[in-house]
Amino acid sequence: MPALIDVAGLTKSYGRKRGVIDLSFQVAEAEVFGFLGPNGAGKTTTIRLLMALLFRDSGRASIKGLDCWQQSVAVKRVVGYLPGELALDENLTGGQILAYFANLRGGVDEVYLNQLISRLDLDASRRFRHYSHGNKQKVGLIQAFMHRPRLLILDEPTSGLDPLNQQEFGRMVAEVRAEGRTVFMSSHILSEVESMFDQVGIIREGQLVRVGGVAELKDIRRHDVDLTFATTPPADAFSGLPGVQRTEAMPDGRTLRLTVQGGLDAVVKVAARYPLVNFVSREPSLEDIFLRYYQDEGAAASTAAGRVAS
Amino acid sequence: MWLRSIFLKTLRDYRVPILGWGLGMGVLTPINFAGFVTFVDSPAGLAGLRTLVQSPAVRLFGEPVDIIHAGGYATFRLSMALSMLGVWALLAASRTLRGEEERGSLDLLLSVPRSRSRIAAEKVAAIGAALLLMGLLISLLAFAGGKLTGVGLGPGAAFFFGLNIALLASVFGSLALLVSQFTRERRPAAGTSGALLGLSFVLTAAGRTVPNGEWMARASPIHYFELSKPLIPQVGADPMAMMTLAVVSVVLSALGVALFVRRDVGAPVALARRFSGRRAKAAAALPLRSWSLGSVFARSLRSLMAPTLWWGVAIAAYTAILTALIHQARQNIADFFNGLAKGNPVLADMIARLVGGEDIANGALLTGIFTLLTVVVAAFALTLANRWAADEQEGRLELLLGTPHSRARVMLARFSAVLVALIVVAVLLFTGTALAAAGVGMTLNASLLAQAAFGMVPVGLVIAAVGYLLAGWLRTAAVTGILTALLIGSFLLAVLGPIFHLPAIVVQFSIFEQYGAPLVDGLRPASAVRLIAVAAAALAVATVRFARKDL
Repeated sequence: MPALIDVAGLTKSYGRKRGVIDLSFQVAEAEVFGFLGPNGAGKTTTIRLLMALLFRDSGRASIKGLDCWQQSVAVKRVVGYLPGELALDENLTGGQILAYFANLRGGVDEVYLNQLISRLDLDASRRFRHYSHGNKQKVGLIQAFMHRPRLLILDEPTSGLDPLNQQEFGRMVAEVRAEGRTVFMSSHILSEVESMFDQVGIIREGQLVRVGGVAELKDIRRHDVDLTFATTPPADAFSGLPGVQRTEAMPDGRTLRLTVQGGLDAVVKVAARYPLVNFVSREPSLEDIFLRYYQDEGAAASTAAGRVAS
Repeated sequence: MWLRSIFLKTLRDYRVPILGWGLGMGVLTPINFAGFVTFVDSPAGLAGLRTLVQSPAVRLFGEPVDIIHAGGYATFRLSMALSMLGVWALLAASRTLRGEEERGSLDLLLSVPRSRSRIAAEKVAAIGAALLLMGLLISLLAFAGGKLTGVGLGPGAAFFFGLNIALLASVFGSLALLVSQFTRERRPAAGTSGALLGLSFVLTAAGRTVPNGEWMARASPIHYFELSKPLIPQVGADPMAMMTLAVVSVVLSALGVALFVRRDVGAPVALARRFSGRRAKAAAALPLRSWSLGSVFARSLRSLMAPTLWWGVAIAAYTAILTALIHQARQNIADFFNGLAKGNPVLADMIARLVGGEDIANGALLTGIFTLLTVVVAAFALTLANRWAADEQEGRLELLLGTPHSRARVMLARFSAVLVALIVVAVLLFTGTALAAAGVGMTLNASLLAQAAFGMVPVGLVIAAVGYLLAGWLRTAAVTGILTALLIGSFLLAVLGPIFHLPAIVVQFSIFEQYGAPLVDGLRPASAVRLIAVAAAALAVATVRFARKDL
């Protein structure tokens, strides 16, 4: 299936300040792509480049085969956009803002628009200036979804939403995916990644350090293993095993905590020689993976494993 | 050092306005001194001044005291212009608490362990200090101007001159602070205070010109400002009048702070809140078929409607009132101008071209008023350009440009709304003046009046288009500063250029010179086309720039 978003060698700087450097990635149709990174990593810059709000220094980016800058009006016909910082006419009500943007898009399905307002529980009669941060975000989300765009580009969409509305938003994204439409969204909240995204790109200091499926990212098999023995554990027996990166004795005097990279076969075999009372192995969470890429050594690790983005 | 207290931080925020307004206003006095010295150099000029001072009509613009000396001349010429420092004061005061509440930045400041009253008082004190510093700069430049031109202004007189201006401005600042406690947003507070400033001008002019009308002037702060004339040695500063201004400022500020301390942050005082609450409920929940939400142009037009009507009605009312005042002094003015016309064939020709006979006085006087109004309309255009720059800077265009509309289309739609707003102001000005003239039985040439009113539209377009152009590179504050300088410079060029015998080609660069005197001469098509061409060129470059820039 051809990529809906195709980015190659995209670079943008703000004078001497870094923006994004040589980004290359693709997002397929009907995919939910999560763009992860800490504040200032370059997520918003990338999104604003795709929306032609910023101009590239070099590289190319296209959406549905259309150049993001040369054919930006055509691109925006297929996109629903939520900016990271929502600035709108403070004197309009939420309803007026939605009506305005609906008209600018040539009209929307009024029934669907009312459904969205109802689902996110927005009081559309209040002025924008009187909305809380969460309610302002709802206005932004509804205007992005209301014309059923083929591609949703959302910059930190759950920012400010309460847990119930975050769940509702998750259901809305799932529906979009089920209808064969595409979502490209940035986030730094890991809890929503595993449940929502098909693909994840991790950006760090303006560079994409990794792109992969959510399951695929977990291939960096690092496990935290707690071994509890009936007697004092033989720490030395584990420290030299293949993949064991760290061995730590717990304060109870009977438990060893091992950090293991790769398979657990060797650890299990050695542990079986001693009176083992309990064995607990934890899978790495995406948060662990995510944080690794923000550590200095993360970049090096990323080149050694998995799909490394240029 | 500047971040050690709220007072210092606020004062630091005003460093650019202190310099800009202080130097901008301050330079007017030396220019007038120099202009006077050049002017009185010729016997004809001095004779003209002596004749002018006899006219009761000039009292509309200021009290002509000792006008044949530099101090009196500058006092008369600058009385109105220097009062404009009040505009900065009212804008700053409406921004300082209400504006910060609108932006949400006051919440954080109020979370620090300081009382609300102290925070408000420090901010108000910073505005006061900024005004005093501006006054000091005006004093210094007046003193230096006096030395350079040999006018001989003493340092004490120069100091009180600047202080008097600062005190007048502080009254309007305090007024805006008080009014802003009753509004949800800063703009209505600034607008209401600005309208009161305009009303003060009218009341002061009425007090000077309407028989037994002194009581009207006493309600105006500008009257107390004018009681002090530090540049005129035989009059000097009036301590009681200056004290009155200071006391009024302190009382209004104290009331403003007291109300601020007792109300919810982000809300007006209770009475105003009940009123605005009822109004908000009337809005439909999802007005998909509302005309004003149908396009960028319609939305822009709707958002400009309120300020356009405010400005238009204020300008029309001001002109209408002055038209009526002119009629009050009609016989005296007519005698004066007809006397001039007898010895001056050019003026006699103007009389014939306007309406003929005694009513030339009305036309000639209204011409002066219309020249001032052109500056006001240009200032209105400046605020419209400022909106565009602010919308871009504050990110309000981001989502709009996420819709399938090209940047050029968005900009041109917004500018079209500006054009309509300027035309509406011209219509209101024409209608207000025509109705007032008809009401008092004054005959005015409707065609010339229409040319004078609608001739202001190209002037406004130039200012707005240059503002759009500058917004392509600069931030809102810089755009406002440059446009203000352009406006003042252009006005000074038109007014003082002939006095300083500047080459005609240089004076032609003034947009106000291009406007001319259409109430008497009719609109000059070539000048109007030149202004429109400049506006079109600026808008074209602005559009290209906007289409290619990072937002």
